[in-house]
Amino acid sequence: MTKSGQVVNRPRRGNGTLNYLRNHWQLYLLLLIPVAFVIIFKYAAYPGLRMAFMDYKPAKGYAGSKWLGFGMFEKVFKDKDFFTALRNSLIFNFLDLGLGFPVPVILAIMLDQLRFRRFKRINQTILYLPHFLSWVIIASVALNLFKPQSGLVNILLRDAGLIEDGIPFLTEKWHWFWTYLLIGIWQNMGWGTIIYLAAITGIDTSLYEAATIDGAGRMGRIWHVTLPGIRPTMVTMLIMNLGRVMGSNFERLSAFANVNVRDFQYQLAIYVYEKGLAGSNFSKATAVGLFQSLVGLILVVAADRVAKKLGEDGLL
Amino acid sequence: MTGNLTNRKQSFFGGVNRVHVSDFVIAFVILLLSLTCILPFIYVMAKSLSSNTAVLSQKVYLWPVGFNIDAYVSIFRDGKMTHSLLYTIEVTVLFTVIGMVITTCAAYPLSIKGLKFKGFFAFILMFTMYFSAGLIPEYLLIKDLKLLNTMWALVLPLSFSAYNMLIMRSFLSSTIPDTLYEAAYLDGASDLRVLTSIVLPLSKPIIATLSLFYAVGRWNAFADAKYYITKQSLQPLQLLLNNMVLDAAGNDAISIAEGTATQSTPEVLQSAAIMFATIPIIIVYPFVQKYFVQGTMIGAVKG
Amino acid sequence: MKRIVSLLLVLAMMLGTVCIANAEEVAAPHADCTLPADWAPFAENVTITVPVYDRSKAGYPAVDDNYWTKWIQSEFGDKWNITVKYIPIPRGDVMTKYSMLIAADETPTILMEYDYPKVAQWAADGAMTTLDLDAFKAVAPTYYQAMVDNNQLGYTDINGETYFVLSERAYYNTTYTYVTYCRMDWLRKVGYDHVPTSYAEYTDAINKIIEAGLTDTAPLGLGIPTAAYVANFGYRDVKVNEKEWAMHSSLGTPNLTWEPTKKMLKRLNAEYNQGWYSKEFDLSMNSSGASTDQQQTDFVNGKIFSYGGYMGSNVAWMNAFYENNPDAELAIVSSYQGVEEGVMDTPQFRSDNPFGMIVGFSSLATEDQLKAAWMLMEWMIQPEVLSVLENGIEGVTYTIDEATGLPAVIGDYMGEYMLNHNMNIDMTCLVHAVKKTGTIEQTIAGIAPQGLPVDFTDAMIANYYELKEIADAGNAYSDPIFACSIDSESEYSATLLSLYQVDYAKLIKCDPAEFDALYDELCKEFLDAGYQEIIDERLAAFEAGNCTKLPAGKAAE
Repeated sequence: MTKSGQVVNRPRRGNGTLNYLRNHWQLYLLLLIPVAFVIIFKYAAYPGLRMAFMDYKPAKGYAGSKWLGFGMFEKVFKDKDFFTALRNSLIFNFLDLGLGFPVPVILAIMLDQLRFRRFKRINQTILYLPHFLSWVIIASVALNLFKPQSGLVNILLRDAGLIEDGIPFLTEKWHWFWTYLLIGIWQNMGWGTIIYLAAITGIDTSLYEAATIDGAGRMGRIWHVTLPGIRPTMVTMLIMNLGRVMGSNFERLSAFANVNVRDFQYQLAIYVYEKGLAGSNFSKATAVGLFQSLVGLILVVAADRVAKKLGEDGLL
Repeated sequence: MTGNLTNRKQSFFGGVNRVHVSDFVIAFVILLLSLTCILPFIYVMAKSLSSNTAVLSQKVYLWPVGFNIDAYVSIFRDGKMTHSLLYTIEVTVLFTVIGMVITTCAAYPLSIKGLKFKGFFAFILMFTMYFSAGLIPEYLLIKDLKLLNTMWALVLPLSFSAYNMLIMRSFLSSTIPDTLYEAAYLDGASDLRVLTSIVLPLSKPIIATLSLFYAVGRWNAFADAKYYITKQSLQPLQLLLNNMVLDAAGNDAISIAEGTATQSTPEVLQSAAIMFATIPIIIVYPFVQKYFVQGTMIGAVKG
Repeated sequence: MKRIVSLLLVLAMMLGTVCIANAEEVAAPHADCTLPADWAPFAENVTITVPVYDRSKAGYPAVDDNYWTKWIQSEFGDKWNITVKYIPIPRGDVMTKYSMLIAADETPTILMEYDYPKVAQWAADGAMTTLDLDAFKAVAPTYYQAMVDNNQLGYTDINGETYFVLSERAYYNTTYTYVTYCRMDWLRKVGYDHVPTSYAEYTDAINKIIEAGLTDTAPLGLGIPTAAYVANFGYRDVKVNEKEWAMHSSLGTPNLTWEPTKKMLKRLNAEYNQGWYSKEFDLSMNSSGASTDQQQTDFVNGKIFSYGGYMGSNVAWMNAFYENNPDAELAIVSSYQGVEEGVMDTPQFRSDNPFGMIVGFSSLATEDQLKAAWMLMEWMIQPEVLSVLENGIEGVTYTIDEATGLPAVIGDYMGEYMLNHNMNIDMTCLVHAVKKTGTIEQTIAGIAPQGLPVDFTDAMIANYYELKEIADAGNAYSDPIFACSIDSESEYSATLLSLYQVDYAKLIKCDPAEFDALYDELCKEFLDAGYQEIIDERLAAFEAGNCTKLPAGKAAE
């Protein structure tokens, strides 16, 4: 990352914004395309958010449905199930982020360091495979492996004499907690490397040469060249993912559901489904969605500010 | 790959001048991780090639039992899946191209230092990433745009991803030195010219990566199609697959309501369908891979 | 190179399949039937939209565009200047799909579902139009007469207005299509020459099976229920308290707090603690679609005593069972197996509703569209039309069985003229719920599993008559139907089902000594989670007279 910081500009013929715009109108022309796009396909849908303040009935439409003001929010915030779901979502997502974030970085660096070319290429492809399998399939395979009595892993451990009773990986809530998180990290680790491998590719090779001449070993090169080289990407990814700690993945949660783990598995996606969508209560689903969006947005903006204070580029 | 023996040996240890113990340690760890990743895949593959009885009695692990390819034959004979495959390829290609064009249009200007109103534009584009209107409002918008039940409902709304735009921007601003821009401007090049002759050629790895992200994202997504598309001939492959696998879940409730059997698709057929829907997109990957393997190779050789 | 080769291979296979199709050309069948004389083609073309379930089963043609939708268009639509369009509704997500269509003002001309609360919701929300049954009768006299013959006129109203017409469900009061089998060979080994016909015998047999070591796992299968229906009819009093029945008996919400459910769970708890069920039974939930039903697997592998399912001409798990256990002998479980004084005095079961689809019409439909939709229903109910839609083309999709003279569908035909799921049932469900073939014996022969070493037709017929006897004694009845929508039910039922699943596992696994205390505690939680609101609302509706009654003589004084 160059910090030369100079404002890139054509030879100046005077000062000011107007001049800049005149010189760089092409940039704004380019920007117009994505801006038009988000206005048509995203912003245009925002007026529909008013259904969070209504008792929206599909057959009556916006015009015919009753206004509730903040009634739906009051109802949600009075519901103790909502706070259980919120708590679980936050805990799981922060852990997901904290544990899951470094893994692709480390794996990418390992892959980059791997020197057996063919072997590397094959393994890289294989590591992406879990990304292509839906959660339903992953969960069914996991169940076959981790069942306490008849799961393959437990049978092997028992036969090896390491344990007496099966480990309830998926049937006891604390075990489930970790199994669920680890499977999530595992599923994403290979796919997550792509972005860092691409960033590593972009690192100027002369930097490595210079480091080698300075006597840096393998670890030294990683520490002084590779990591700083991918830092902007890491910061970007970290801030972006922060906005997702309010979300939760319904497909993943429902695939790993079982009756022993509802205490932890009950997260916002499940809440929205059970109390909103399943009964076609779109107002409630939208209201919870709005709340999630707002909190996510605040987190991202805050993280962005912090990043900038620390001298990073940030998002905005 | 040439047939020459010594060459082949070289290519396996390609570019290695000194092999260190740590190389084997890394290789071993990666091998282990790879194994965990490929096993579920082999499991599904083995099921897809086994007999119904063997799968029902859960005898299949990593090797087909009662080998047969009936499931694949019936998928190919059922025109729905093959039609959907071709259609999904069409949608994915269109989506990826449009997505990349728009993303580049956003990422390139925003990566330039000193762009006026940069924060404003970045905010407008990024706001949508965290703030979605929700299922029904978005659906009603697509309806007002008259896109329901058209291919464009799958191509257009999602084709700009602020996430990918940010990744590209961060790549551009960290890898293309400002001096290059300065030199180009001094030569009197316009911004568009800088984009086409300097930025794009230098961005091959990120373009390849993001194209892959877009393509895979579109390929795997089905939630939008579930609501925007009613006509069966316009449904993407993953939606067919998802319905086939997931709908089996609610069968109990459905059976009781209907008072008749609602047998789900046999598991062997489900597994074959998973393979059928997954392999085409996985084949794409190696073509993309060469763009970043090239780059890292240079580093490895010189390191 | 390899990559390119594999790509080419895929392409070649795809091209191959495109070319295989369209081999034979068959003359389209005709259905000559008598329709009301005053029907006339519309002056201007009328388009109607009809929902059709999309079950996404591999191997079937598209549900909205296939030979038979085209056939309906040419045989019916073109004649009366009507365009019939089909709208696929994903079977697993019916309500959301309908809500989206309704929100987009694209409500299909016809709305239909098997469950009353769902259609009640559409009617209450204003998505359905009210109906003039006399006008309907004028256009569709045969359909109307069928409703009269089947005693369905009591179900057409909600909130005091007429909204629905109903399709027929033959033999609705017996559950003959669902059959549970048990291991007769095991029973013989422990000294029985008949299936247990009381709970005492059953307990004895199971414990002897455990003692004899006939299986190395728990001898019976059990799983977490995935539907809200609680099969507690047998545990109810023979004379039911009608008020309680109205409050609790339902397909939509599990009734944990009702006494019969407690009895049922208590028995399961005792059985579990005798080692009858696997300790992992609570993992056997089919919710993650791809994983198989553990009970089914165990039965197929010869590890458990009994397993049941809906019958059809091809039952995969039975085929697999006989392949794995060629020497086994199966028998159909007796309905009397659970009978024990004080717990289950006499066998009772849930009969189906006396109707199939509940059909209503869009509030956006024009008069012409309504009429066109009614014409479609009237046309489709004609036996000549049904016979073509359900059997297809002679010599291609079916043959005439020489012995019975009845059509027999060729099960493995795959091609242009193929019938969709279950003999086009998702189209013909508009007029009836099950295909009828002559007498009940012939109907059962049509759904008896084929290709097994043993023919179960006679056993299934005997089972039918056993069930019929129970039904004739008044011990098969259904759930109440409310003539108003129960709003709290749509709000809480999904949460309550999840809670019930958790409680079900807890109560069955707990120490028998703690059962009562735990049950009371969980009931309280369950009531607080919304069940109290639901039963209050149901009770109010019952007391206001907005609810069907129990069959005559069933209610307790």
